[in-house]
Amino acid sequence: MEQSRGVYKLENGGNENNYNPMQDMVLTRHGFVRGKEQSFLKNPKDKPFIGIIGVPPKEVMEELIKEDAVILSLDMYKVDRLITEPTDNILPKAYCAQIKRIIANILSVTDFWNEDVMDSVLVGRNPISEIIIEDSEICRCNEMGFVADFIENELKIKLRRVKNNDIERKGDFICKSGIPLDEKFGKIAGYFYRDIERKKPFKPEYVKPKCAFWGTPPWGDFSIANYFPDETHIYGWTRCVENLTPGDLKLELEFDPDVPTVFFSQSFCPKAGLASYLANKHPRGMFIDMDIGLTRSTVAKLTAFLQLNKVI
Amino acid sequence: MILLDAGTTYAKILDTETDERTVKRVSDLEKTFRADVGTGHNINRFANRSVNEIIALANAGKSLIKDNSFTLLDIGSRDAKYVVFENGSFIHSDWNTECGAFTGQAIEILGNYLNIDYSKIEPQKEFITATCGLLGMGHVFDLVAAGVEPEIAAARLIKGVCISMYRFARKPKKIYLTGGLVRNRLFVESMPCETVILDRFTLLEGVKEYALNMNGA
Repeated sequence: MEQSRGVYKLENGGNENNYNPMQDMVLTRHGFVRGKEQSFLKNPKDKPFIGIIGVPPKEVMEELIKEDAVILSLDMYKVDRLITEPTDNILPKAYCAQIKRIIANILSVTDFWNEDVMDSVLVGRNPISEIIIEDSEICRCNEMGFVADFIENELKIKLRRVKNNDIERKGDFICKSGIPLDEKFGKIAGYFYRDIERKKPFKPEYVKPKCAFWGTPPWGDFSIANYFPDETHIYGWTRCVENLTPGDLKLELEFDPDVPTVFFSQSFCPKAGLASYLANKHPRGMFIDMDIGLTRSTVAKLTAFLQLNKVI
Repeated sequence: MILLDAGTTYAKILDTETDERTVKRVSDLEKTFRADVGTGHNINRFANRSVNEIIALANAGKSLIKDNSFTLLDIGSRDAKYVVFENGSFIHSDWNTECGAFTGQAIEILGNYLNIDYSKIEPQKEFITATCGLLGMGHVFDLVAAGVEPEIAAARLIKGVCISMYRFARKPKKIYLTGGLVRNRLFVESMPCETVILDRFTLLEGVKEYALNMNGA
């Protein structure tokens, strides 16, 4: 709150009684600061630079392709070293690291526009001109509504809220293939773009599973995938993404009861409830969660589970 | 061969040649001490080779328990872990690695702070539900401030921990218990199911199995 000559500086003709102390504050990656110019929000180049959160419906993505937009997935773009700092005085400590990451990603792109932090593909491109958020609660989480409000109210970036009701399943060849698990996650993200760019679908061969991974991609630390054998099938929301049906709850609930399965969720994520519930229903299931990164204890728990089930 | 279970607070040592067993605080272990093989949260500081704690627990269960089907729960000062076997085959395991942990340590600290002897307290029916030992201590202090006797308040926390552990281990009819808390009579008697106590050297039986297989391989 800024004080000048003993009186509060007020905007919009307000008075002290309805003064909002936050109206002079601007959010940066260092948290809220007073009165910083938001020049980074301008987009001087002609190509739209679109941030997406979640999996927007096909029609929206096709529209972006037509516009020749540069698309940045704010879920996946990683700024691990920045993750806690930008959100320290905004969000609670015990809170979903994925939401923290999304906000940190937006802030790092806009406020720290340099080659060091940008994905190589995107170096030199424009700051975000619009963010499209898929905020169907069933696809993602209740917090997407908060993230959307936050982008609109605090970051002042143009926002489009969309809902993905696509129900046509494209198949899950990658999920049930024998390529390494970390590559599976990467190719599923790539498949999403291949489909909208009408490239030939990637359909690797089926392998018999030794175990399964259920859940969202482990954005916080993909090294968890290194502990699984290549013959790991993927279930849960990641499988829904390969099918291009992120809101397909029926598909998300499926698992293979004959295969030892690790039910994974981000810590403090509402999907943890579903993961834990299914892990308890599964004859040989185990629930694990992960906050910002993989801990020694989680690795020990995971490897013991895989060894005792004779998976590795 | 010297085997070591280096937990968060206590170190359990077994000399396989003399069968001598000792327990000391981890903080009292000499920095130069090196076991041949071991397990536990602090093991990498004190052993040449280590075995995963759940693997050690599973090996120990198979070696020490005659039943083909059993649930073995290890409750230490920092965490709890269990394995379930049915008809000789591994079925489940879990490990409350961080959140929800520190129960054993909290109970010990609480006893010292309130100057109470757990062996002289009767189990309680009422219980405190707490996510972890530290939060549980807060509830105990609230009860004491409200006029409940410290012994009763602490016993309610222990009952709550027991119920939490029983649910964590998937509510078995019978549970084999090991870890530092098995020496706490109040804790054992507060468990809501039949209990069989294994001593606190149980994990070292699992380490021994591992070491024998390692040498045989």
